[in-house]
Amino acid sequence: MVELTYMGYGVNRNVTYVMACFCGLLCAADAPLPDLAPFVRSVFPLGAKVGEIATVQFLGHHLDGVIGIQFARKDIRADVLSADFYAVKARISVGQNVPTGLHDYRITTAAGTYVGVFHIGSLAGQREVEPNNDLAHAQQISLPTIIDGVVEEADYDVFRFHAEAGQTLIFDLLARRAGSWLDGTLGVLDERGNELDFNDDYYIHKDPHLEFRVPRTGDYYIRVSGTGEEGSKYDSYRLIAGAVPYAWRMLPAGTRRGVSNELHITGLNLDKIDRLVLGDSLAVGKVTAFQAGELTFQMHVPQSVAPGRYELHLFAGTVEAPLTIPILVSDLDEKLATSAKTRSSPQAVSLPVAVNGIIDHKRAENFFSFEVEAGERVAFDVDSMKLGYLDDPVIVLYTADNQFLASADDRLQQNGSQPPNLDPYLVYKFDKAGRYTIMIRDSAERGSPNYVYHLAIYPVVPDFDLKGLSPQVTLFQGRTSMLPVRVRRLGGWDQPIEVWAEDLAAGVTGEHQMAPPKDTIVKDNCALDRKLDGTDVLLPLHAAGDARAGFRPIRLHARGTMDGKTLEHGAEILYLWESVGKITGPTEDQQVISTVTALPAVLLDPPESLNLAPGRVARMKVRVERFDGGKDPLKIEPDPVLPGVKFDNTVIEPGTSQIEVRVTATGPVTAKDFRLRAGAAVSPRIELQVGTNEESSR
Amino acid sequence: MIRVSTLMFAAALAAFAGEKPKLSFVKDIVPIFTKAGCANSNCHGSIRGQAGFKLSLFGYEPDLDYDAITKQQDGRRINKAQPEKSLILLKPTFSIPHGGGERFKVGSLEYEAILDWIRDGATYDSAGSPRLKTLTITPEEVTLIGIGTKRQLSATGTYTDGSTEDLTRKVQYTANDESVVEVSPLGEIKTRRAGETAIMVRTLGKAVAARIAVVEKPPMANYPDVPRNNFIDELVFAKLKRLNIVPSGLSSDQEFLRRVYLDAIGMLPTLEETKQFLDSKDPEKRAKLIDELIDRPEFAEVWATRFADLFRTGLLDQGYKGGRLMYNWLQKSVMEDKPYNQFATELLTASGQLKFNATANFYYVTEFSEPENLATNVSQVFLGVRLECARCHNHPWEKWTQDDFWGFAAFFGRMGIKDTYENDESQVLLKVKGEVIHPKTKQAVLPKYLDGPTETEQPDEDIREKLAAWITSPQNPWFPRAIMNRMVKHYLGRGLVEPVDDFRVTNPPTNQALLDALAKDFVENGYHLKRTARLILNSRVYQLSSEPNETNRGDQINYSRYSVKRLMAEQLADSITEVTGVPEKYPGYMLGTRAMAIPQGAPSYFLATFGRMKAREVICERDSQPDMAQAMHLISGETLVRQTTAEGGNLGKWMADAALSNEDIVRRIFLAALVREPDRREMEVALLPLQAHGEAARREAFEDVLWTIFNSKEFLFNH
Repeated sequence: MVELTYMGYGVNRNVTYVMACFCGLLCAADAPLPDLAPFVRSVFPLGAKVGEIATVQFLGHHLDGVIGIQFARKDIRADVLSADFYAVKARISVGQNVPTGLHDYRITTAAGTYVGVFHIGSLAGQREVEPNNDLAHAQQISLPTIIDGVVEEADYDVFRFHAEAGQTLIFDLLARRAGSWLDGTLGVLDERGNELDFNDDYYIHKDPHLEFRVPRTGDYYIRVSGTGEEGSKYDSYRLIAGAVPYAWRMLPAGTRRGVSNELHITGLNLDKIDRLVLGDSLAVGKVTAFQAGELTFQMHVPQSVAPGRYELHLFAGTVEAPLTIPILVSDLDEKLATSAKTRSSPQAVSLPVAVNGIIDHKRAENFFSFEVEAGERVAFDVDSMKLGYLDDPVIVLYTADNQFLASADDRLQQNGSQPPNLDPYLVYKFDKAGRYTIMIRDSAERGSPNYVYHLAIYPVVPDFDLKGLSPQVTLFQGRTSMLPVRVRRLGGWDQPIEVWAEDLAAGVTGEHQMAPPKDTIVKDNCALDRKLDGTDVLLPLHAAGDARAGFRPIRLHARGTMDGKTLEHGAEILYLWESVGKITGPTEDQQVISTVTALPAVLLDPPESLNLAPGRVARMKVRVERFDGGKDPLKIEPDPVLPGVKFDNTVIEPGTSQIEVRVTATGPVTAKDFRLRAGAAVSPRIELQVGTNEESSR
Repeated sequence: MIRVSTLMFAAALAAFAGEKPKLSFVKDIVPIFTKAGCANSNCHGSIRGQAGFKLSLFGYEPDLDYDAITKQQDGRRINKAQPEKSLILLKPTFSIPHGGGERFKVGSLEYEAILDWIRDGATYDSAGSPRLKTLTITPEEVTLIGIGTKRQLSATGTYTDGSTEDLTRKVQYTANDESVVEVSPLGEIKTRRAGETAIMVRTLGKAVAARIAVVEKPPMANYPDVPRNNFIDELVFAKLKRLNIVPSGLSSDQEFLRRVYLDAIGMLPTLEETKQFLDSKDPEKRAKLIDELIDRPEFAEVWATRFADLFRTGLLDQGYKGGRLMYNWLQKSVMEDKPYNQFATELLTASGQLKFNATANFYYVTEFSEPENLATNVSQVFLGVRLECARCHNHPWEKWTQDDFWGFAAFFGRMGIKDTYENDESQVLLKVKGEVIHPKTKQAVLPKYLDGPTETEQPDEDIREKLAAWITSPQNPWFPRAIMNRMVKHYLGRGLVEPVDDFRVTNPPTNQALLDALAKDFVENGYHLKRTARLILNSRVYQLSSEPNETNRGDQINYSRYSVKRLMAEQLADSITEVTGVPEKYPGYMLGTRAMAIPQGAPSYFLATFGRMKAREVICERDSQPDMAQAMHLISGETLVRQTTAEGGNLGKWMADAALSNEDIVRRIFLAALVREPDRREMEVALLPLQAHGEAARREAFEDVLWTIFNSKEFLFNH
C-alpha cells in the first residue's frame, strides 16, 4: 500500500504521478519519470458561440504530435490545423444545440492526454484589439456582447460603450472559472475617467463581476486588467457585457426528481425569461410569474434524471442567457426554510429532507428540529459554496434542550494545492431516540440575501466512494507509474478499503492497494497539517517492456467490508480544470485514459526563447534528463547550425541534470527557430531573438 | 525647587505636629515620592524601575509601592531597628550615592514624615481606609493679563469616605508649555508670554489640568465687529476677542478657490473652473462651489485616503486586493455620506473573507491581529484615546489602568483568522470561544467599557455589537469629538486637540466650546461628515486670509487666520500632473489614475517621500515634516523631471496653439498652478530666456517656469 503524505499535486495537472519518494519497494530501481503528457496552460479564445466555427489556439507544452482533440460532446468538433511543442491551433465547430457553459475537450498525443474546458456562449462575440490600454485608445463595443481578450503584464483592455439611463448592465469576467490563469479585475469609468465601480474578486475563484446601474445616458468605459497589473500571454478571458439576465440566487436550490417543483429566481434583467432548461434538455421549466425581480417557474424533473448537480439554462424566446445557474437534483423533499427558525422555536422537519434557506442577515442562525430513532445514523450535508454562494456555513447539532452534540465547518480547507470545500458535512449516530436540533450559520456570522444554503438531512448507512484524481496516466514501457485516487468514507465507515484498476492494456499490470480508515494529512504552505477529505492512495501500474504503445480507458474500483457487509464501487473521475489547480470537478467523459509509450533515452529541456545581442554572451540553461543509463558525455549542438553563433560549454557529463550553454554572436545573426540535439535526442524548438538583452530567460 | 517644596510641605504637616497622628502610607508617604519625582516615568516609575527599585507610576498603585519599599530586596530598604539608616531615606537625601541625586534633605518634612512612618512600624493603611476618589483644580480655566502676572492654583482631593483635603502642596505640577507660564512646586503660576497652555496636576493616580491663557494687554476698546457665517465663527471669534486677537481678513477669491479645491477634493481647479468662478458675480458663489465640491467623487477620495491612513489600508497583510476593496468601501461610504456611527459600526462588527468583505480588512492589519492591538487601534481611531501605555502599566498622563486596557481588549477575545479558498486568502471570524488573559493576574478578563461597567456576552451574541453601540452612542463623549477633531485638523490645519488622537484631561482642547458644539451638531444631525465639512468650509474662519496681522502673528492654535499647510503627498502629485497634463503611472493602477484615488499599498517613491503612510501595525498620523529628500526630489527628482519635460501634455498643446502668445502660456501656467495671473515682474522673468535665446529656447523656457513654480512655497503649500 502506498499512502500519500506530500506537499500536494496539482501544480501540473494530468501529470504522471512519479514515484519519487513514495514508490519504495515497488520501483526502487526506477529514476523519477518525466512528465511527457500534453499540458495546456492557455486557450484563446476561451470559448465560442453556439453554431460558430472558431480558430482556437492552445498554448502549453508537449503539444507536438497531437493526434487529435476530442470534445466530450459529439456536436463540438475540433480539427487540428497546426501543432508544435508549445502550441496547437485548431478549428472548432460548435453545433446549434450545444448548451451554454463549459465543455470538456481532451487533447491526445502519443505520450498521454490532457482534459480541459472550453466555454460555449450564447452572445455574438468580438475580440479585443490592441492598443486599448487607456481611455484615449478605448475600443468601441456595442452591448450586449462577449469579448475575448488576453491580459498581459501591466495591460489594460479598455472598451467604450453607450448605455441608456436606468439600464442595469452586467459585466462578468470568465477567466479562472473557465480554466484561465488570469486573476482579473473589472472597472467601470465615466467619460472623465472617474472609476464608478470596481471589482476584483466576486466569485470564490477570483473572477470579477459588476452590476452597473447606468445613472445617465451616455458613453462609459469598461476596463479589464489583471489584479496588481499581473498578466501574461496565457491570461485569456471572456467578458460578458450587457443588460443580460443574471441570477443572484435560486430557491429552493434543489429539485426533487419525479415531481413538479416550484422554484424562484431572484436577480437582474429576468423579466424577459420565459423558459428554463435543466442540463442538456433533461427538463423544461415554465415561467409562471414575474414580480419585483423574482421569477417563479414550475419544472418537472423526470425520475430518469440522476441525482447530482446540473446547470439551469435561461431562455428568452430562442435566445439563451449567457450565464447558467447551478441546481441540485435529489430524491429528497425540498423544503423552504420558514421565517420561524430560531433557537427557541426551530422549524420542525421530517427526515429525509433538504431544507433550503438563506443566512440573510448578520448573525442569522437557522434552527431545524427533527426526530430520530435510537441508533440511527444521520448525515447533515450542506451545499452552498459548491453552488457558487459566498457564505461559509457552519452546522451545530444540539439536543432538544440546547446541549451541544457536534459541529462541522469546512469539509476541506485550502491547503496550498487542494481545491477547498467550505461546505460542512457531518454524520452523527444518535444513541437515544428523540427530537434534536441542527443549526446553520455563517462561520464569520455574516449574512446576505444571497447566502443560500441547501441542507440535506438524511439517514445513512456506512459507505464510501472512490474518486479518480486524474483523467489520464502515462505508462512508460518497463516502468511503474502511479495513478492517484481518493477514497472517502461516508456514514461512519471505519474499515480499510481496497482499491485497484482494471481493464488494463495487455502488458500492463496493477497492484491492489488498501486505503486505511483515516484521512490523509498534507502540509500546507505554512507547513501546518491539513486533513484532506478522504484518503489518498497511489495505484502502481506497471507496463512491461514489451507492452504495446497505445491508449486504453481503464476502470477504477474500490471494495470494503464493514459489519459483515461488502460494498464495491466504481470511481468518479475528477480533474482540475483550472490551470492553477483550484477548481475541480467530474470530467464530462468520465474516463481515465492510460497511454503506454516508450521512455526516451535523453530529454533536453531548454528555454522557449533565446535573446542574443551582438558581442554579448547569452547564457542558456538546459535541463537534461537521462534514462539510458549512459556513462558517456553527450555533446549539445544546435540544429540547424546557426551561422555566426558560437556555442560553448556544450558537453553534458554523466549525472548532470542542468547545463549552462554560453551562446555568442560572432557575426550578424538572423532571428530564426532552432533546436538542440544531443545524440538522438532533440529538444523543443527555441526561438532565437536578436536583441540587446544579455541574457535569455524562460 | 525641592527646598521650596519641602518647606511648604513641612508647613502643611506642621499643623499636625502636636498631635503626631499616625501617618497614612497612601495619603502621606506615596505623594512624597510622586512630588519628589521618584515615581516619574524617567525614574523609579518607569516600566522596569530604576536600579532594581520599581515604584508605580505617579503612585497609581500604592499597594505595589508598599511591597517595593518594605518587602522587596529582603526588606532592606527600611530599617526598623535604625530607621534613619533606611535606604529609602539615605538614597533620596544623597547620604549615599544615588543616581537620582538629592530629592529632599535630611531633616526636611518629607524626611521626617518617612522617618516617623518607619518608626511607627512602616505599616500599610488598614483595610477600608479612604482612597483618593477625585482631584479638582481651581481655576480650571483662566485668562491672565500681562507678562509676569502670578496666580495661585489650588488642588482639592475628595476621598472615598466623602472627606476632602487641600492637596495644593502635595500634588505635582507640570506646565505643558513652559514658555507661556512657569509653575512652582506649590502651584503658583507666573506668566512669561502671550499664549495658552495647560498645567498638569497629578497625585495618587489622579491627573487633572488647568487651562491657562495669557494676554499681554487688557481687552481692546475698539475690537472690530467681525462678520460670522455660522456657530464656528461665533465660538472662534469669541475666544479671539477674549485673547485680544483680531482675525485676519477674508481671503481673496483666488486664494479661496485654490484652497477649497485642494482641501475639499485634493486637486486644483481647471482653467475653465477658475475662470467660471472668478468671473461670477454671484454673492453666494463660495457656498455654491462648496456644495458642488462636496458632491464630487474626489471629495470622497480625500476622506477615503484620510481613513486609509488610519486603517493602514493596503499596507501589511491586506495586500493589493484587500487594500483596494477596503479603499473602495471607504470611498463609497463617504460618497453616499453614510452616517459615521453606521460607518464605525460596520467596521467594528466586520468579519468575513478579506477579498470579498471590505470591512473585514479593518481587523486584518496583520495576520495575527491580537485583541490588545485591536483595542489600541479602535480606541485611538474612534475615540481619540491612546490606551497603548496602559497595555504594560497604568497610563502616565491619564486615568487608564492596565485593567481598563485589558478589559477593553477583551471585547475582541473571540476574533480569529482562518484560511479559506486559496493560498493567500484569509477570513476574519468569530471563534466559538475566546478570552483575553490579563498579563499581571493571569486571569481571564471580562470585557469592560472605558470608564464604564463590565459586560458579558450572551449566547448567540457578538459582543462587538455591544461595543459598537457603546462607542457610537450619542452619550459617548469621545466618539463624535474624535472625528470632529480630525475634520478640523484637515480643513483648518490644526486639531482642537493635538495630537489628534490624544484626548485626555491633561491635554485639553484649545477651544472646548467649539469642539463640544461641533460634536453636538454632528450627533444631532445624524453623524454626517459632509454636513460638518460644509459647515467648516462655509465658516469665515476657514475663509480667512493666511496673512497674519499684528495681533495674530504669534497665534498658532486659535484659527485667527488660515493655517498654511504643506500639500499632502497625493495632493502634490495630482496637482503637478494636473498642471502639466502629463498622466502619472502608479504600479497596479492604470495610467492617469490620480494618486488620491489609490489606496496606500501602491509603491511610489514620490508619495512615500512626501509623507504617505508607511506600514505600521499600530496606527500613527502622517508625517508632515519637510526633509532633505523632498527638497532634492523637487529639484531634480525623476517625477518632476518627467512631468516638466514630457512631450505632449498641456505645455505641448498650448505651444502648438498659434492663437496663444508666450505671455498667454505663462499666464496659463500660473493660473493652473497658483490660480492667479503672474505679476509684471514674474512675467518679465519668465520671458527673459525667450528674449535672450529666441524661439529655440521656447520649450525649455516654459519648462523652467513650471519647474520654478513647482519648487515654490506658493505651490507646495495650501494657503
